[in-house]
Amino acid sequence: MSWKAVDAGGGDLGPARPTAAAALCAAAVVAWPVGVAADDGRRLDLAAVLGAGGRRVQDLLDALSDGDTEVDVESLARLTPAGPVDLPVDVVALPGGVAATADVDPVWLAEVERRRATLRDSVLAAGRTEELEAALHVAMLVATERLDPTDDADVDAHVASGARLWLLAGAVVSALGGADSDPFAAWAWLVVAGWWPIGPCRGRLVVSAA
Amino acid sequence: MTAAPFAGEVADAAAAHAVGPEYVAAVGKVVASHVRNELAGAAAFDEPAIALAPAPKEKWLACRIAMEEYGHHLKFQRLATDLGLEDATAGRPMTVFDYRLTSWVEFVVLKALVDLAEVVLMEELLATSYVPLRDLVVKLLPEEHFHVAFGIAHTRDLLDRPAQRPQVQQAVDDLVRLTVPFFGRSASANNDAFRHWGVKHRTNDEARAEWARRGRAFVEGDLGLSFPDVDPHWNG
Ligand SMILES: [Fe+2]
Ligand SMILES: [Fe+2]
Repeated sequence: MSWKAVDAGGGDLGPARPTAAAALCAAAVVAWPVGVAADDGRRLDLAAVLGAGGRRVQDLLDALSDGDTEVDVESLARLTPAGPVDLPVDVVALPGGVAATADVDPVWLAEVERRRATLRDSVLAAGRTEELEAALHVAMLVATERLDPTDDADVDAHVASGARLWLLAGAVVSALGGADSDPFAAWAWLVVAGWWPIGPCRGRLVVSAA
Repeated sequence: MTAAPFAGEVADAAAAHAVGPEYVAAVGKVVASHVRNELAGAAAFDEPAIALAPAPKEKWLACRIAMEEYGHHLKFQRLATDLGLEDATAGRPMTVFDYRLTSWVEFVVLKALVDLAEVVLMEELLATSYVPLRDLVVKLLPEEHFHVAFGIAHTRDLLDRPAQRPQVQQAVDDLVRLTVPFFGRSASANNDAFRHWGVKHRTNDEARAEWARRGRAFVEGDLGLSFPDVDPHWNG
């Protein structure tokens, strides 16, 4: 049995590989939606290839591609990846967001990192390394293009883009490893809806327009 | 090799095969070197740098840069696949990728100097005979310029603290030494073939000298540090 990554029309996106996840990892093309086709004609979408949590990844990438997702910024912002934070939400423009990064609570940020590492370890311990790689590969390919700063010299836009990619990568790990609890989900929805949630900064929970 | 250099333009992979296997081999080697180096660059430097960043802003910039390098790797990979190259990642990455990144200082100096080498190599491909490669570097160069500008700006910031000058100078010394071989040997049958087929137009020594000139202007003119002597002739 061999698999190839395919686009929505069934066109080849990469070389044949022995597993569906490896075929996704070998696809060098940014296409959405992406799936796989077996040499016996079977087709699977991304969610099916990734298994548990895969549907969440697929839904996020659908929303990122559509670009017209409406969200309740205040309520989602409080559900941070390090747990709920009950601070006033402050929605700022991009320069204010970048300025606020200097004040992000380091204890909170360390907790985000810790949770992400724990979730990653649990995916790997479950023997799902190849699925995790496929999920990150596809998500980062799609998102790096979708979140590409329009001005190639705009440092603030690159900071925001990098932060949103970092949150989305965390959300992919969290979706595959989180079972019932998915601590990155709320912020991932903010990201795909066009926001950059930054974190608790001096008594405010700062969210920037990206 | 025939005496008269090839002067045509090659529109796509099918046209490259129509020119002949020597042409495909020459383009393939140039593409494959970028496939390997972009991936090694993303894996060896940019991803660890996300963890070494001193503050969130730098962390997220490093994240954007890492993802861009990964994207570059895949875009070159796509060109390799179109040309029918079996496994473009099989070769050995350049010596510079043996460098073990241990600090943020090293990362930003690396972006200023090693990505500058990538810029010099890519700029030359703006005139390559293989049009898909030309089109790709037109798209990627603005991102590489951003990486270099990031490296330059953050290296300058480090020197606001005089105590960091020795560490920056050490990173410059190490990275210059490791980047010299990046351009290939002075006596290079590959480079002869690249120039014959119009894939490249400069000798390896000319590219190396151009990189050293620009690197020196930054390190000595801008930072007030010293740039090691670079002999453009290098044969390993
Ligand atoms: Fe690159
Ligand atoms: Fe780069």
